[in-house]
Amino acid sequence: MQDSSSTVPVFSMQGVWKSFPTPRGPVDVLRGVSLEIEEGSFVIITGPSGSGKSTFLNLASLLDTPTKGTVHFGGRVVSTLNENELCAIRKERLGMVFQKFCLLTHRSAIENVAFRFRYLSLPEHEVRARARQALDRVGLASHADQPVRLMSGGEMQRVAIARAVAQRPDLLVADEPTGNLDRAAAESVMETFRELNADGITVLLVTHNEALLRYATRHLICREGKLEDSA
Amino acid sequence: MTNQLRAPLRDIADDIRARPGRAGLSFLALAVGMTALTVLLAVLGGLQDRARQIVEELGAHVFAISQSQPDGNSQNTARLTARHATLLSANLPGATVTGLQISERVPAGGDRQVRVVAADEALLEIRPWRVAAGRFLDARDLRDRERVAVAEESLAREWNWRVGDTIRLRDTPFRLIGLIHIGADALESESTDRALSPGTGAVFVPRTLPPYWQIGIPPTDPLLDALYVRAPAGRPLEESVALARTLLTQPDQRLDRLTFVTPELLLQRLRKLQDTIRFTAGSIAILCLVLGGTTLMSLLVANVRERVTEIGLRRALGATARDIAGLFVLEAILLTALAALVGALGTGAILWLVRERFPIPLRLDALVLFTPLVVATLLGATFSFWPARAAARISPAEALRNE
Repeated sequence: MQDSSSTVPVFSMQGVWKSFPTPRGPVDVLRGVSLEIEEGSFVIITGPSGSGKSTFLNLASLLDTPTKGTVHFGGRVVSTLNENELCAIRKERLGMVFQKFCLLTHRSAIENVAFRFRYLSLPEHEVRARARQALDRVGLASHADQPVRLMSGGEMQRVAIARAVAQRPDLLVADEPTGNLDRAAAESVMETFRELNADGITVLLVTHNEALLRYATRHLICREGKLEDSA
Repeated sequence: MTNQLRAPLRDIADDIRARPGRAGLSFLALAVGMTALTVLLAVLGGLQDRARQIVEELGAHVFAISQSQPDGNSQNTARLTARHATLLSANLPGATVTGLQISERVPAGGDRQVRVVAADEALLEIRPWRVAAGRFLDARDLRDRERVAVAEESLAREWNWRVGDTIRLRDTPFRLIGLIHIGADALESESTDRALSPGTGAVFVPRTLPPYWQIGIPPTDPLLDALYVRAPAGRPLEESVALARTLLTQPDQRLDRLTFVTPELLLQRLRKLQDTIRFTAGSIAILCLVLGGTTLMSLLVANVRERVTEIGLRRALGATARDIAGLFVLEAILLTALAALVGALGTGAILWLVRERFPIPLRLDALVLFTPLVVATLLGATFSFWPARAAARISPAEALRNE
């Protein structure tokens, strides 16, 4: 029986390799990565382009599977899960934020946030209420009915964050969330991440911008397919 | 509407709104295809109805024998007479035979003229006409040579004749004893032979009566314009026709220019028309549908390419590969079904308005209008299969890298 005082990491990897086939043979992008991400932490990963950050993030988001090694999510071994179980984790326990927002430009802010529940069977009124609540959380309640294509980059990213957290995730994964924003908007978005983390949501964020490291409780550096804690 | 139903509809509406030109082109091609299919089904159905009507109007298991007018070189040719009817009756056991003599343009008071058909009581047993009022001629009328008449219903209505009235045929009074409903038009449209549809606008009198409306002394063996035979049940019609042909074409009968009209003969022209239409309109419909289908497929392929990031987002939000495939299949089915509804119902409405002036009979029923819907659904499902499968196979990680 597990000791109640010990915490199970939200996400962990043991000896994970990820290779991609190329005409010149397979290329190893991740090389034996092992790590644990504790619940409630704010982890920022930095590293040069092509070092394997996004590949690691895809594995953390359960969008991809490792070539070798084991991935655990919430204590379960991901490789033993079937397609439906993986999808269930993605829709219920994971939140994702992307560099270019990935919003449905024909829809309003609240409709984009409500899209979070597209594959969850919830009544319409509850979807709307939770979407509105999430927008309120990122300070965009007054913009709920505004089409997202008319919003600024910072606002669009906050809508994307609201979408990611409308269904409270165990792990919030963000891939260069400030990459397309100016400094002020980036700060605003990072403040939002900090508030969510303060509410207990585990954040895993990839960035090139080392100025954002002050928000992190843990800093990982990705270099040549390996992840290491910064000194 | 539940969220489960509204959400996919919303997704599809969004996609169409984002790419209206491409969706509109597919819709147009499919609607044209459905229009062609609806016209084809309406015309083929109409011809099928006409064929059934012809058989019904002639009578089940019935054939007619008529003789065309003699030309100048056939002085030795005999004419069909009552004797031939007796000959057939005697040699076709179980058959019912009747003969008709048709007189056109007989004065009927004022400046009115009618067709007078001298017949016997067996006519109503053979032809599927029904008594609308009063009664038809009976054996006693024939035996007693009663001066009674039966009028076709529409003629009686036009001239305001009622059962019990006295009508005049070339100054001779006849008591009107009944009205019959013929309701025939298919035979008239398919055959120029008056003997096949003698009833419309006619007055029927006993065949045994002296033909008061004719000038001259009546022959002892009255001429007939047509013979009708109801073949005995349980024996193939063709066999009875062959026997009648053998009997009437014996050299001593001196009959020629006889036409044996069977339902099969009447249907030949219709079948040829049906085949022609099936081939030409069918080819056009199939071409339009294939064109519509391929346009739809290209729309979906382009959609998949353009929506790779959206597919990645959906997968990130928990959509399964099946959800993604279903999205594209449902979109295709809805688009084709909508095109079918517009094409079929629009065409149906137009055909309904012009049906009277349309040169070919039309059938406009639920089957004609809803078959395109079924075809459209199958078409949508078929042509969306490959793009949907391609969409479902996109790796979510790859799709989001496309961002």
